[in-house]
Amino acid sequence: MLFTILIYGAEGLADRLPATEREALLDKHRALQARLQAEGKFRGAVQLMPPSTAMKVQDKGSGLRVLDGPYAESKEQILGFYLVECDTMEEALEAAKALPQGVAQMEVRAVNWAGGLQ
Amino acid sequence: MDGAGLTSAIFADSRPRALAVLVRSFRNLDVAEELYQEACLRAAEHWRGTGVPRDPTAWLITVAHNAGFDRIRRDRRLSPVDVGTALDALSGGDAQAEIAEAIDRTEYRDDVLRLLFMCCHPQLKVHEQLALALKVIVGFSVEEIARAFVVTPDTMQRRLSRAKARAAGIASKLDTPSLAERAERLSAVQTMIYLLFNEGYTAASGSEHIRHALCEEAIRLARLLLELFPGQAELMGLLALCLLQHARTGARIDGEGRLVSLEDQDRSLWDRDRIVEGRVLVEKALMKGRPGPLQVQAAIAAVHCAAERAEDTDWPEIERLYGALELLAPGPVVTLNRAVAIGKVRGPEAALATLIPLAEELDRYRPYHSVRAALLEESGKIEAAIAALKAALSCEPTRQESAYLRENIAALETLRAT
Repeated sequence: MLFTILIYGAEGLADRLPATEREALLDKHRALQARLQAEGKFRGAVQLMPPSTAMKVQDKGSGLRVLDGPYAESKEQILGFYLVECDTMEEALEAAKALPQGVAQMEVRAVNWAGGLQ
Repeated sequence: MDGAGLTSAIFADSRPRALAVLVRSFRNLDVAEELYQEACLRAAEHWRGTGVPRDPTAWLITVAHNAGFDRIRRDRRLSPVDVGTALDALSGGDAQAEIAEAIDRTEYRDDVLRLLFMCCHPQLKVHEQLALALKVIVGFSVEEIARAFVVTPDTMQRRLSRAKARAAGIASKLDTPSLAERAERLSAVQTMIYLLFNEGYTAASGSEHIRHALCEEAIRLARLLLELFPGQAELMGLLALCLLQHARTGARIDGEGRLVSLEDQDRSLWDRDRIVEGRVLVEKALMKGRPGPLQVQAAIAAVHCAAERAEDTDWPEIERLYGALELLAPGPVVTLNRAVAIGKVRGPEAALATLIPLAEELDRYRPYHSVRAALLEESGKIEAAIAALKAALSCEPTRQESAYLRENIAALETLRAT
């Protein structure tokens, strides 16, 4: 089964951490990726640019319009996500638990369909 | 994760919004700073047990507000003009949730803008503006700011007190701005942020560490403003420009501390993340069809950053962009830069012709003579090139620049002798 680990948090917070803590945080990501890779469960990971780079396409009736935004009013943004092949939800949750907590919240969810994966 | 780093990161992150709201409620910069400090101290203790709350900014504002009201009860001399509004925000069931919601409401963006605008008071000198912004909004210590401007902490403390006193004078007068006033404030704040960035980017003094921090903080402020005013094309241009320039930081200084020209920089040292974000922002901004000087400058920086090697640079596009910049924000330095692009596209003679009208105005501007020297050398006028380099030497170059100029003069004199 394919699962996604969605990572939410305040944009830019990790950049404010002292260098050693930031590095420790990245190490956890690298370690998880290496483990998933070794187990043949790693299907991809994405880290998003800040929401300043976001745009959206909307159907305004008179045609498609490209708009700025999403103007997210929330301080919690989606920062990135993992795609992991796991036998159980529990296994996917284990992967999420291995990621750095505190700066971000993880949401684990089953994936309905995914294409173009490695 | 070890909590100390995370909580300090959160305190720094929440500071501008929290202070903006507190200044509105209590109409006093010092009181707002003290209350926020108090809230942070309580958070550091409280969060150890409970973990970080879902919306830490709202938590901090609520606690700071409560501390403020306690203080008013104790000390009747403190009577905030806006206490009613502040109390309203806290009344009812879940005060924290209400504040969290209120922060998101657009009226609060004017609070943040007001706080930033206070730091740009026209009676304050540029350095005072920047120092005040670093103290109040960014939350730097007096020692850190003193280091950035290479003065003693005592001197900086006195400067900050004076600046704060002036800024406080306008704090009470700044109500919700009209559209025109808001545009005016945004423009003043944009300029201040760019000056802050440049203080870090170009200042010859101050340690590398602190200058780097100034650039980062300027970028954060630009980001914050853009978050609050997402439709502003020039604000997008500002953030893009800062990001694209900052992306080259690692390649700008060589091992011996010398400036490396854009052409000679090791481009593998450029920061790809910043470049990608900057380029997307430029594209987004220009789509709006409301070009401004910052957007065009960012577009120029983006063209440079898009070239993998110096010789791949799209100079015709850069020339066009400088032409646009001349229309939007004319000035001799812009023309000088356009001349450099013209030199790349149409050769040194055409560029030298562009420089002729600038001769008087830029006579004491070192880069003018350096650019002329390079163009003269390229067109084979060695004697004139040497004269131009000597003129550059007379324009008070830094030690590194003058060493570089002397080297060039010696090289040309050898060339002339053969």
